[in-house]
Amino acid sequence: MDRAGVALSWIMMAVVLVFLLAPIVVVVGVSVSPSTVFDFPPDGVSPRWYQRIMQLDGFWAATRLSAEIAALATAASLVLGTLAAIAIVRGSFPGREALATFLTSPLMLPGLVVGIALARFFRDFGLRDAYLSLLFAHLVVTMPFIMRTVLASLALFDFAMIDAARTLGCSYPGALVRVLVPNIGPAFLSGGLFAFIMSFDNYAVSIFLTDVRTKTLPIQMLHYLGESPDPTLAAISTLLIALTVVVLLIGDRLVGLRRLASM
Amino acid sequence: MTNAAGPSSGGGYLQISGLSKRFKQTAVLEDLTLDVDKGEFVSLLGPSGCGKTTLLRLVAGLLRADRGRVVIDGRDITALPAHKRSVSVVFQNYALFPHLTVAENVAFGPKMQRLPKADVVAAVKRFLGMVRLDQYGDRAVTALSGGQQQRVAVARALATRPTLLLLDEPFSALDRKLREEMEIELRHLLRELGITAIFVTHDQDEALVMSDRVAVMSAGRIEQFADPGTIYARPATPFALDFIGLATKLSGRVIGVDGGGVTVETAVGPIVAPGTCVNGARVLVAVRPEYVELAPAGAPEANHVSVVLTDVVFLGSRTLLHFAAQSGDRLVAEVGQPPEAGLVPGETLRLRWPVARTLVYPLP
Amino acid sequence: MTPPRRAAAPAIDASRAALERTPWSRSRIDPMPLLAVPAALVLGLTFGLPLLMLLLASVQGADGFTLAGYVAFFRDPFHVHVMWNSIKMAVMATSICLVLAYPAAFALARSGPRLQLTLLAALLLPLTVSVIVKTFGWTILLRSNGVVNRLLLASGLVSEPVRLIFTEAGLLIGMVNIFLPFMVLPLFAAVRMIDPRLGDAAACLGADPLRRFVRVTLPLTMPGVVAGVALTFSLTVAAYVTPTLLAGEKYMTMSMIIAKAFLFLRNWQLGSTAAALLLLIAVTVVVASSLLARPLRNRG
Repeated sequence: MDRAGVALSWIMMAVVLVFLLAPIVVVVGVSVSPSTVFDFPPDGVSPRWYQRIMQLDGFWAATRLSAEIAALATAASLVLGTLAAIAIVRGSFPGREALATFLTSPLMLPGLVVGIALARFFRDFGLRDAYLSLLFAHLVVTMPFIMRTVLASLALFDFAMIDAARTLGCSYPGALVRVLVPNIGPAFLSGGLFAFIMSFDNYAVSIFLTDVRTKTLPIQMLHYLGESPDPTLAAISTLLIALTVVVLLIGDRLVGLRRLASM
Repeated sequence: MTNAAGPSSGGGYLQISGLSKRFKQTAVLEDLTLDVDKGEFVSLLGPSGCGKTTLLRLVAGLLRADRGRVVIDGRDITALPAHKRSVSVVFQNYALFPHLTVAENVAFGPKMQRLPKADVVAAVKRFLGMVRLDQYGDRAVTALSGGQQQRVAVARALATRPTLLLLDEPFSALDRKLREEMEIELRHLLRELGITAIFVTHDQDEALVMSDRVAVMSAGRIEQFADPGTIYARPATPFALDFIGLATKLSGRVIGVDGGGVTVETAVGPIVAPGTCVNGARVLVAVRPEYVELAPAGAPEANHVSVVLTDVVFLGSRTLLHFAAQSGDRLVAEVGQPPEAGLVPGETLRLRWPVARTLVYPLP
Repeated sequence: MTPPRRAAAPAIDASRAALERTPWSRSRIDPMPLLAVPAALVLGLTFGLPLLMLLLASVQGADGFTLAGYVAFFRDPFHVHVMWNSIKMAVMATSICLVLAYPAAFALARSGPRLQLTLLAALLLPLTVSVIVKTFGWTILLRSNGVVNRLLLASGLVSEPVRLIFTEAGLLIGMVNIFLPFMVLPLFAAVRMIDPRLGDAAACLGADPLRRFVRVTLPLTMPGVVAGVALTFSLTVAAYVTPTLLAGEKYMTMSMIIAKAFLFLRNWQLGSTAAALLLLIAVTVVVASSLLARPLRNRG
C-alpha cells in the first residue's frame, strides 16, 4: 500500500480507538467522583459510590441471576451447538448450510422482537416461570457465538483421529469427549467466553421475560437509571468493565486474543 | 471372471464373504470375497476409487456393510462396531492425537481395554521399543518427523494386540528412501509378532515387495488374488496386466486352436500362446518385456516380429527398448545391458519371445 | 491363458450358499443428521416457532387472514415517519462505521504482532462492555458541560455549547460508537486473509497504487464488507437501549414503538405489526447478505 494510504489507515485506527474507549473511560472516571452530579473529569477520588452498591436493592440477586443464566445457557449451547456443528461439517444431508445460518441468525435479528415473540409464545403455552423463560431465551442468544467459533474450528479438525480412537476401543461418544473436545478446546473457550458476556449484558431479549421478582442485572441497572440516577450506576458499570477485563485476560491466557477476535 | 479370491488352505483366518456396499445408488463394493491366512501380509492394490479404502473401513468396523459377512478366527464380527472389534488401523496421515504425548498416544488403546496401570506402562515401553522410539515417550507428537510419527502410529495400533492390523497407505507421505526402510522394518515387526495384516496401496512396487499375496482391485471387485510372482508373471485380467509392470499388448483374432495353444492373427503377424479360446474370438495377447529379446534369424518355436525401434530408455540396472509397429501397436523389450553395437531409433529390428510366456485374454 | 482353477471352488460355492441366507441390512438411518436434532429442535421451538407465530399473529384478525394491522400501521404518518427514522439512522450509522472501520481494519491487519494484540484488546473491550454502560457514558459525554462540548468550545469551532443530548446528531454519535466494533472485526478478518503477494503481482503488471487498491484489494475485501455491513445494519435498525437513552421521544425508532406498545400501551396489534415489520427487515438483510456472500466466496 502506498504511503498516503498507510498514514490514513493509522490515523483512522487512532481515531477509532479513542472514540471507542471514550465512554468507558468516562464511566470509570465518574464512578470515583465524589459529587452526585455526573462529573467528568472528576474533582477528586471517592469510593462512596462503591460503598453504596452494597445498599442497593436487588443488586446481588440480579447479579447472581445474570451469572447463573449466562453460565447455564452457555453450557447448554456448547453441548447442543457442538453436536450440531459436527453434523453440519461431517454430514451430507440437504439443508446443512441453511441449518448453520439458522443457528447463527439470532445474532442478527432484533433482540427486542425475539424477546417479544418468546414472551408471547411461552405465555400462550403456559410457561409462566420467568427463570425457565429466561434460560431458553438466553440459549437462543448464546448459540450463534458458539456456532461461529466451533464451526470454524471443526472445519480444520482431522476426523481421522475419531476413527483412530474408535479402532483403539473407544465408542463414538467417547471419542468425541476424549479426542474432539481437547482439540477444539480453544473454540469452546473463545465462543463460550463471548457467549457468556453477551448473555450477561443482554437487555433486549430479557426485558419482556422478567417479572417483578426475577430481574437480570442490565434490567436492574436501567431501573436504577430511571429511578435514582447517581454515580452508583457508574460504580456498578466500572465493576462490570473490570469483570470484562478479567474475562478477556483469562481468554487471552487460555486461547490468545487473536482467536478471541475471530469471534 | 469370478470375484472370489479363494483360500489356499480352505477357510482362512480372516474370511470376507459377499461384502457389498453402496453409497447413494453407486455400488462401491460388489459381492466381495477374500480369505486371508493367519500371519499373512496381504496387499489391496488398485487405483484410487477402486474400493480398497472402503473395504478397509468395512473390515475395521468404521463402515457398516449393506450385505455380506466378516469373520475373524471363527468369530462373526459383521455386526460389531469398530470399538468392539480387535482390529487396529494405521491411517494415511497417522491421525495421532496432538493433545497427548507420544507415550500417551500409544497408551490410548491399552487404557481403553482397561488394563491395569502397570500393564499399560509395560505395553507402551515394549511397543515404543519395537519401533525404536523408547526415548521419545514424553515428546509432543507434533515435534516428531514424518517417519517418527509413522512409527508412533504403528506402535499405537499394535499396542492393543489386535487380531488384525489394517494399514491405509501409511507410507505415502514419506520420501522414497525412508519408505523403503519402513517397508522392511514393518515386515520384520509383523513377522516377529505373527500379526495378520492387510495393506492398502496404489503403489505396485510396494505391494509386490511387502506382500505374501496381493489382491488387485478395480471398480469394487477383486481382479486377482495371488502371490506377487504369479500376479506378475500370470496376471489374470488385462487390468491386472496393465496395473502391474509393463507389457506389450496386441489385439487380434483367434485363427487356430489346437491341443497346446491358440494362434492369434495380429497386426504384426501370427502369435502363438498357450491355453484355449474360442476360434474366431477377439483376444488380447501380451508378454512381459524381460522375455522379449532381440532375435537372430531362426529359432522357429518362438514368436517373432519385425518392428521399428523408437526409444531407448536407460534405467541403470536395465534398459528398456520401445518399438512401434506399422499398425501403431507398441512393443517393449527389456535388456540387462545395452548391446555394444549402439542402437539407433528408426532401425527395424527383429524381436522374439517364448510361446510359453505369452499371455492371452478374451476381449469382451 | 486363464489362471488354474484353484481347489477353492467348493469353498466358493459354500460361501455363496451362505450369502443367500444373509439378509440385506435393514436400511440404517444415517446417524449424522441426528446429532443436529437437539439443537435444531430447541432453537426451532424457542426461536423459529415463536418468530413464526409472531409473524402469523400480525396477519391474523377476527375473521382470519388480514393485513388490516399493516394497513393501519402505514396509514398513520407517525408510524411511517418512525420507520423511516429507523432505517435512516441505520443507514447513516452503518455508512459512517464503514468509512471509519475500513482503513482501521487495514492498520490492524498490517500491524506487528505485539501492536496487533494491544489493538485487538482495545477493540474487544468496548465490544464486551454492556451497551447500557457505554450509552450511559455517552449521556455524560454529550451533555452541555460534557467533554465533547468542552472540546468544541476550546477549539473554537462553536461559540456556545451545542445541544447533543436528545438530538439526532447525538444519537448518531452514540450509535456509531456502539456498533463500530461489529464493522471492524469482519473487515479485519477479510483483510487479514488477503495475500500480500497479490498486490506485488499487480504492481509488476503495471498497476499504480490507486489501481491496485481498486482492482485487487477492494474486490478481495468485499466478503468482509458485506458481512460487516449486514451485521451492523441489522443491529442498528433494531437498536433499543441507545436510542431510548440518547434521543428519547425526540427520535423514535421502531424498537421504541414496539417496546412502548407492549410495555405501556398494551396494544398487541400495534406491537406485533411493528415487531413483524422489523423482523422482516432484519431477515431480508440476513438473506440478502448470505446470497451476496456466496458468489463472492466462490469467486474469491
